[in-house]
Amino acid sequence: MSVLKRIAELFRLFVSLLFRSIFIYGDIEGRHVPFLINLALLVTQVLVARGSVERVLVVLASVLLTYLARGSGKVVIYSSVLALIPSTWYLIVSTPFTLDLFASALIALRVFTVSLSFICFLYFFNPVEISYLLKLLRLKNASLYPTLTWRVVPHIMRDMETALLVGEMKRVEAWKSLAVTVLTTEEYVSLYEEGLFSKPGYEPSYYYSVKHTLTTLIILAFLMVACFFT
Amino acid sequence: MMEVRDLNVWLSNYHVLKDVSFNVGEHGVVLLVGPSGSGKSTLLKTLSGVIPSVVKGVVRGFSSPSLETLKSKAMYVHQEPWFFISTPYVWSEIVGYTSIKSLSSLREVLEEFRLGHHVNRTTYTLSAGEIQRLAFVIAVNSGKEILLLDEPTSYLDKRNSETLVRFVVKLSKDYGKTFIIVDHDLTLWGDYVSEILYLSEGRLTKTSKNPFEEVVRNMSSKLSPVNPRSSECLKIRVDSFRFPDSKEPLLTNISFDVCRGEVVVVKGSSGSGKTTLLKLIASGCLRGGGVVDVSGGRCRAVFVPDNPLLYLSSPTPAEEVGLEGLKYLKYLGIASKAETPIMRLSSGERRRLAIASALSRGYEYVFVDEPTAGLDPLNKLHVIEAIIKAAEMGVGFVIASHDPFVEMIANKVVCIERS
Repeated sequence: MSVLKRIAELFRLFVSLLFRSIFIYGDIEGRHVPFLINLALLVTQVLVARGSVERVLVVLASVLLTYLARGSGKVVIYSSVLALIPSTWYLIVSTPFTLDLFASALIALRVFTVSLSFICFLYFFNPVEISYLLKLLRLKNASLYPTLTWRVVPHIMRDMETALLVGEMKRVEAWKSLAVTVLTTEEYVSLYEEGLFSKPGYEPSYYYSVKHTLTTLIILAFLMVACFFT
Repeated sequence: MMEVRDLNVWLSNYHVLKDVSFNVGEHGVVLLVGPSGSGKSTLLKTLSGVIPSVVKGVVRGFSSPSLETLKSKAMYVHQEPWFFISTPYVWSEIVGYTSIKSLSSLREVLEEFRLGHHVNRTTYTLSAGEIQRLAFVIAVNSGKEILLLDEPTSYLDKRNSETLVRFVVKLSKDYGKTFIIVDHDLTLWGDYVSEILYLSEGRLTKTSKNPFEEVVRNMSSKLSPVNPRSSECLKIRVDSFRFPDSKEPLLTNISFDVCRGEVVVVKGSSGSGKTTLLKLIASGCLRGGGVVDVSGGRCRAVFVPDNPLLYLSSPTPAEEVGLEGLKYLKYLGIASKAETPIMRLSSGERRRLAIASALSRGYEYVFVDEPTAGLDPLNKLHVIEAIIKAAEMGVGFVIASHDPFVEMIANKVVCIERS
């Protein structure tokens, strides 16, 4: 298998993981928690994960709890595999410096936990809320971009995946398939513009889930209390 | 009432529309037909203001209401419905762009188009047919008076096409909406439209009869299944396939053979998993195993997706098909575009090019998703004839299609339904 083919294969796997970790599962109630609370949880997790190993484990537990309590347990596996990519990298590159596998494993655990927190934040991030908030801030023109990005990025990634499958079947070099896909992307921009042009102005609307907001606040409180005792 | 006089449009110095004049009465439903590349989409884009506001071009002519006024009154729904949707969830798209704001009304409206259970679904996982219906729902609930629909039924099955036609008729009669529709299926629209306009090489003529009548008659009488001469077959068997962590399987108990020289048509309502099935077969052929049982482990096959751009990998048609494939460009009526950059080809031309490329590369099996979607009857006939020629030379086909003319050349028809 040529290097380019391997790259194409890895790209496909990566896209599939990214899809399942962040984009694919529709709009669930668990995604209707205020952005600022999600952000507060992420910032707390990142700050706490800088501490002792016990604290890292507490953060890890809080991330897993977030997934489970907000009805997304099935995403944990994919997110974990995705988070393993940077942590494995850190494990490999830090070992020659630490000369201690245990110390490197701790670094990798920390990286894994922080990565998983970020992926969890992105998974529960709801672009419609940001659009809604921008509209409330009277930034109507900007309000379209968060939702548009969340629509266009997976659309292009999915198409790239198909183009690579076809390219592999046609036995053309991966760069050729990708080159056309890049040109396609340029055309996509124009086609999306055409689509948007005659649509009426975008009026985003949103609702918050009391249940999941309270759940997230409880997890945040648990994280803080647990940190106090570790 | 809408009046257009002497409309001329130039795109990149190419004179696309030439002295186009027509009237549309109130509550009118006008059908615009013509060969692909004749300027139908350009006309709709000009009336909606997409040209020259988004697509650069020169527009000259008279219109009442003026083209400037039409911009705010008209909505253009793209031929490739994917680009009409700009938010990640079905509910956010409808709530954001229509007057429907409550969840119960939203479900009710979607239910009429059999999309009621997709309210929270991500829009990029919808099938082409589902996206097309969603785009229609948004267009008709957007408050715009004039709706310019480009191939609104190209990815729909018969049942959904008929529902859409019924809605168009109702909205024009009861709510005074005006529709200008580009479509090739006169059997579907013929009884309901107030006028049929025929556009050829940028010039418009009124017509009372189907300009493609002879071609359609030809197809109906001429097309028949090919006699497969090979016993070399792929065995396709899907006991159950579901996407990881999906609760219900998408495909169950599907089993059929496709032999070289044979045409197998896969049909089913949109969202039933036709494209997924083709991709599974393609992956099975490429890597060996999976849902496909091939002697020798792998087979030389290719997959042509419904978006033809994803298939193409060269800058011009001539380079895409190579010397051997030039004859296929000819069969498919795009020989004159051999040196035209792919990005400048129309949607129908790209589709035909992708088919020409797939047929010219000597594959044993070709898996095609909607090969005739959006093509006029003449080009449709060209595509079907090219498939017949390739099948006669021993190429096996699995084709996902709603098109009854494609079904006419099928040796086998596999029907899949979601349940």
